[in-house]
Amino acid sequence: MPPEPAHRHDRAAMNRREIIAQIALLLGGSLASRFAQAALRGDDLHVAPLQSTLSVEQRLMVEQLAELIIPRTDTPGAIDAGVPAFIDQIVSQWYTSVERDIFLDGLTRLDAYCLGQYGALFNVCNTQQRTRALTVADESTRSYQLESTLKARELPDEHSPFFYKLKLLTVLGYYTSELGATQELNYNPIPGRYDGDIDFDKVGRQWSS
Amino acid sequence: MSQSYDFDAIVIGSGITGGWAAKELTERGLKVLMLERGRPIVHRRDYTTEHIAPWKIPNRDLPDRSLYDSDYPVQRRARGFDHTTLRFWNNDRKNPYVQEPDKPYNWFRADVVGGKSLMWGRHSYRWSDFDFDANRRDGYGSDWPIRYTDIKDWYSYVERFIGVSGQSEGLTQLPDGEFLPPMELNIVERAFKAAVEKQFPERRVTIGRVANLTVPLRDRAACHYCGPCQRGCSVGAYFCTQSSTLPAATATGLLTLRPNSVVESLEFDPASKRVAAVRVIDADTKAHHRYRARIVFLCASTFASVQILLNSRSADSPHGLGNSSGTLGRFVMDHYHGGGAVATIPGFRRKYYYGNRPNTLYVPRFRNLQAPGEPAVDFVRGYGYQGIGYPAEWESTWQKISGFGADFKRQLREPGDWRLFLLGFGECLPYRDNRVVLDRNLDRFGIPQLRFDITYRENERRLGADMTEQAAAMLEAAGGKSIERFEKPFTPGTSIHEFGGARMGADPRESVLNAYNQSHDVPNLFVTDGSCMVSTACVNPSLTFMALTARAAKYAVEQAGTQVI
Repeated sequence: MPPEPAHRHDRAAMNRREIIAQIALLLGGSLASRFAQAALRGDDLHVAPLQSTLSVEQRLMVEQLAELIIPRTDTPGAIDAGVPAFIDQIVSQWYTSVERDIFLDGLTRLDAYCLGQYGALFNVCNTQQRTRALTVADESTRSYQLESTLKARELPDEHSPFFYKLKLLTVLGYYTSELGATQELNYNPIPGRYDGDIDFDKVGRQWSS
Repeated sequence: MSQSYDFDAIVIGSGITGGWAAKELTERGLKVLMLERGRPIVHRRDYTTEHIAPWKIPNRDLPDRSLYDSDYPVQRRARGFDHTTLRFWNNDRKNPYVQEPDKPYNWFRADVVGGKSLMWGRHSYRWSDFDFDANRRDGYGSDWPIRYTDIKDWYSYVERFIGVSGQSEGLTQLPDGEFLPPMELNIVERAFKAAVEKQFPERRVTIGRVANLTVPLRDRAACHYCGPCQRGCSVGAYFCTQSSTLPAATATGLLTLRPNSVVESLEFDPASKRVAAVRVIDADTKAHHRYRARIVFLCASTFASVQILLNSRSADSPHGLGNSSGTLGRFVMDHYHGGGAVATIPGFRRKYYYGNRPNTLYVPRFRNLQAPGEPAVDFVRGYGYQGIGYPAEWESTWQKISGFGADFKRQLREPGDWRLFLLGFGECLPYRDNRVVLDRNLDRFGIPQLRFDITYRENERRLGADMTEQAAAMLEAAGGKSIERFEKPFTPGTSIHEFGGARMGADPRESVLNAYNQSHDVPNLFVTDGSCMVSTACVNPSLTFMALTARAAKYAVEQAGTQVI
């Protein structure tokens, strides 16, 4: 069995359109699904950054996971905001090998859970099934407590568990993205004045930075 | 004997004090060469990350770990260091220094025109005679050769030029300055202030006194509350060399600024007992240059100035220039930093703020003020706090909101509970064997690296413990919950308030400089950065450095006028 990295590169050769078609079917065959529509338009959902170490399936998992964590609601979601590409870049280029292994192992475990529970890989499970799989990953890390905050921009712990890493990168990628920062939150780079006592309801959303 | 000079004066360093020396000397008619070891940073043109959108910052500002590990292992720990300011900071790999194995010292440095004045925290407080008289009173260190009365008008002079916003409080231990209108405390800080002043009537909570404009000053605009001043400010709303002293000096037509100029040593002429020239190595070409001047102002920053003096050895000065006392490099200090506490202040969830205030609250010193009935403590000197009330925002609240999906996203729209954070700065005593020396290892210019041998001692530890305990007590008085005490101090140097190594004093056998920052041994040499300091007080020192510089410049020009130097 070749070592994992080589195996991942082999999988990149698989037909992306086949995967997309499968998903569209399993999502109820509805061509209204954003994934399917985008694929038919030729949008390249799975464009890999130049040095991605993720396989096609892993990139698709990351998209679905990010969108589960921060979905499109009345404001853009993670996919709209380009979060999957950010996560890919961090995992592929910024992470240490320890961190990358934890992250990729987490993706593998999601697949294993889905296979065991639903007889299918994560990417071809339906929304409820995928949500359940992610919930299980989430609940298994609830006890993991950390003190440090993202404001310091230091990843607090190389060994933090998969779900924590995933949630952190999704949150960071989303709320520092243009859409996330300007449409979901309030972006006000040049306020012009300081008022230390306003009613939150007057602004309704946090400042993004 | 006639001398021919290249310049009337050479100023070494372009930071907080170098900029002031250049301004004062040129405005008094001297032709000045300002040497800066670092690269040019031109006001406005080079503030390339000012107002940068978060999505444009590389890796969304996740630290570039491998680069920081290899090239900025020390600087990365500094307040204000990140992608957007990295190019201002010293490259530790290219320009290393030596630490004693069990005595770590964070030496934070800039390597650009403007020095740390680009990234400084801008807090500007006057000293009082509690500070100037401290050494004499408790016997640690040697007596300052000046008192508040000698520097009072110079504080005013500097404040009027740089612009300091603040609130007059009438406190003897923290003299009021010439203030622009103060920034405001936010609602939680006001609640904290009310609670603390009620429970501890001898304590005060005020807004920070910062070199940020709240109203326009000459051609500089008032602050627009964008937040990170250290990225540079094109409208000049905070004081730095580029916004203020450099334009003033340039306007005289008498200033020559030479960046990329590493000062290797000062050349002493034993016949005249003067510095005859400054030896420079070009940082890019490594070419050697020599510039002659009548007066030299050494403003390279505390440890850099001491390094230059130590390296200016000669047959007449085997232990460094101006070191007949043997005190050069000794009695170095910084501020004990890192004690304090943080707590949640419940009850303000529906309250928020508008604008990013580049300022904190300030709690002035309340210990050891010889006030009748004041509690006795087990340490001498004192400390103050900077602090801030702030709501927890998405960067931290995401961890506290469990789950994921639409509901998680909706909850993240709102900030979390407010917190109040207090971080202390404590006075460090002058110890003879806290010192810097030249190491055997040379840097890439052939200059001996500086080796740091500095530790905190018992008084600092006791003061630090009280700093933390009192922070917790004040937070408790304000209804703080889940109070978290900061038990461990930061590594020495972390305050970025550096003092000593070429201290002032009346007695040439015990000091390097006289009451006018003039070298006892070398009358045309003035040293006006933090190296001149005899003690540390507990307040941010830059205002005092600037005032001493302006005062010394006037004196130097007068001395030159009477041909004494």
